Amino acid sequence: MRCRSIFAAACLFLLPALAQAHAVLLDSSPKSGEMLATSPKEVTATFNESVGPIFFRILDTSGQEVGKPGEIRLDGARMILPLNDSLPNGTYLLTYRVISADTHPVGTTFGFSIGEPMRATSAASAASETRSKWSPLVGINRWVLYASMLWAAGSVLFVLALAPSAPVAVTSMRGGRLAALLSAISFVLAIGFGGADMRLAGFDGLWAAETWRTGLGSTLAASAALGVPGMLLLMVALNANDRPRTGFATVGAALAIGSFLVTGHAATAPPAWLMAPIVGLHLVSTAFWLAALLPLRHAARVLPAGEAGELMDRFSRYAVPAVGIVLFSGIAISWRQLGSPMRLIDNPYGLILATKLALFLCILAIAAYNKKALTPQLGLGIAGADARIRRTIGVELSIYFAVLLAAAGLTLTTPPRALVAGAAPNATAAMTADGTWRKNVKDTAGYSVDLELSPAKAGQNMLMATLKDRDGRPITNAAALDIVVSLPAAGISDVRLKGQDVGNGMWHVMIEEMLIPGEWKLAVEAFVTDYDKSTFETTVPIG
Amino acid sequence: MNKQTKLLVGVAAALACTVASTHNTLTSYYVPAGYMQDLEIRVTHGCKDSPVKEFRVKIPDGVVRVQTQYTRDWTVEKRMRKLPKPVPGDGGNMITETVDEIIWKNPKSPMPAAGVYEGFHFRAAIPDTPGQILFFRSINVCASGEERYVDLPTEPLDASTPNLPEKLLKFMMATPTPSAFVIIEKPTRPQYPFASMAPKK
Repeated sequence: MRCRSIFAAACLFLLPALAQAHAVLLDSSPKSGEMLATSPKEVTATFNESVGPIFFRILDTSGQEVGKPGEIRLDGARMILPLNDSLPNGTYLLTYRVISADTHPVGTTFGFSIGEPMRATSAASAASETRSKWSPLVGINRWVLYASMLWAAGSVLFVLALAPSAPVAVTSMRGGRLAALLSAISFVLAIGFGGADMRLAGFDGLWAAETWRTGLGSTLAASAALGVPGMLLLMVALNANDRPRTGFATVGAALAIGSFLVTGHAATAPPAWLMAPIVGLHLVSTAFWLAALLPLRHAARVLPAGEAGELMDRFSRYAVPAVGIVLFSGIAISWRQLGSPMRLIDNPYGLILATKLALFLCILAIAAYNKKALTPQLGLGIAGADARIRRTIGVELSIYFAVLLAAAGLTLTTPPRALVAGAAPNATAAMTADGTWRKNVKDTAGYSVDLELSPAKAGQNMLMATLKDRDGRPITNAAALDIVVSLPAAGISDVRLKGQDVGNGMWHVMIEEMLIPGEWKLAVEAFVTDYDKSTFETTVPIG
Repeated sequence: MNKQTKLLVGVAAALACTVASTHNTLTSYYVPAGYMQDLEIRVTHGCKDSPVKEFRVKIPDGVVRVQTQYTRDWTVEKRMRKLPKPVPGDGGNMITETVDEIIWKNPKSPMPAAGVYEGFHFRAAIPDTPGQILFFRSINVCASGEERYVDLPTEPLDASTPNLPEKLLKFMMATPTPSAFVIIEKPTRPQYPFASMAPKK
């Protein structure tokens, strides 16, 4: 009993898979769009955390790598690429792809020029994150990994909690063993698939040693190093007569926890002390329910009707609170990631989550039908009840796998959590069709500033600020205007920039630093006279 | 203001000086109400690595009869403002305007951005309002850029404000560019030893 509770506690921390913290480019030399006078000796990129380089190149406009690069060097969060050849005047692209602690590869491409203004290049204007053809396979593998891991852990829980009679316990444990094996294989495959994804390899790239080296160099390797033994121990735990070995099960589960902590997928959404147990509860309840379905279906066939009905009753006693936990912890996690029900529809993460929720409601409906209508029939031995219950459990199980597919999809999609970091929605802010964010902000003295930020997307942004007096007339003789931008959610502290007076009370600031989507803090410090400072504070959503 | 508070203000100021010695400050934290007082604003650095080529101070309301110390190093310019109502000046004349802003400029050589400090000296009649805190807003104009020490506390402060030392310390530490300030206190003894011999009014 004690071992059982240790095991349950250990499971609390399983699989907190939603939080993400990508590496973000803070500075580079040359900068995006910069015109250099002479060819640089080296190019550098500085990130918000230390990264592992996958590639870092300078391309000419025909896409050829140029500059005879040397070895990529790392200096903390700075990545340096020495160039042995000097580059002739012209337009170039800087492109990189790196992995961060959470194994999520990020990369971008932007243009710069030497000795002449930059020519338009399609890649430079796109400056978008490249996506590999391996991404779907990474997702599918993760689906298999989640499903099998939950199944293996859930089987232990199911047999320990319900103590079903031998034929059902044996089926359940056999299923659990198979799931643990599958999960172990998935852990290993994740290294290769992840490596290929990071290197943007082709489908034959899985056989290249480089691919696996990249994968092994990432935290996926550490994850597998803990996860595989964990799953093997669960296999041993389930390889018994009709009761799992709790010792093996506990150690196996502990290792599985470790495997998910090292990938940076830990429940890091603050407050972590609250979110980690909530995510854990969500998963334990899911695991128990998921792994119970097939043995229950089996029970309906092999056990005498009365005993099967009694087992279902016992399952219901655990399942009803489990449903509550799954539902409420799920809502809590979603709320933390989304921040508002509106976010369910206006971004891919929300849409997947909404789908997951809808599918879960279907499962709930079926489960309720099973409990209210079919289980009593089974208990009373009504003819055909066992066949009906087997059919509905089958449907329930397949929907469950769809839910897990959605869960795996969520881990490949960036949650809008960063977008809502602590900020209430702006009632007076408006995002217009042309992608310009506009807002009027007042200070305590009655002055106001009209702000226009475009395109209000990650990358280079231009801010136009118009200072106005108490009567709404432009202040044309202000002494200076500074802005301070920060994104505390991503650890980006105050960046102070000087505004340029463009006349008629309007000031213009080019912001290169808003490179991460999120709710950025923006403070405008206007010197209405040399000595009178007005501070206007607001937040701006960068998409 | 009692002795203890005064001590605390001193400690707070000293603390603020050691930790945030980068602000422009007045060298005295207390001035007696109603007397002429020598004042020095200390500038300790330029703007990043750019030297100071000009220094400007805004004289707060109530401070009159401003006179700058002669200096061979800077050209001093005074800008005037009209007083809301005339006040007695030197020799009993009524004065209708006072110095609004002092500008030290065109130095023989600009003050280096780091490693040295410069004191800008002037004297002025302090208003007879014990307990008031005067804020001297100032600007370091550098060869490239400027630093404006013009921030004021978010709430009005005077000597009777509860927890004044903490609030002043917070103002100096938490505000990026606080104004220099001085607290007007009630004179504890006559400013001149021959005060008792002055003719009765």
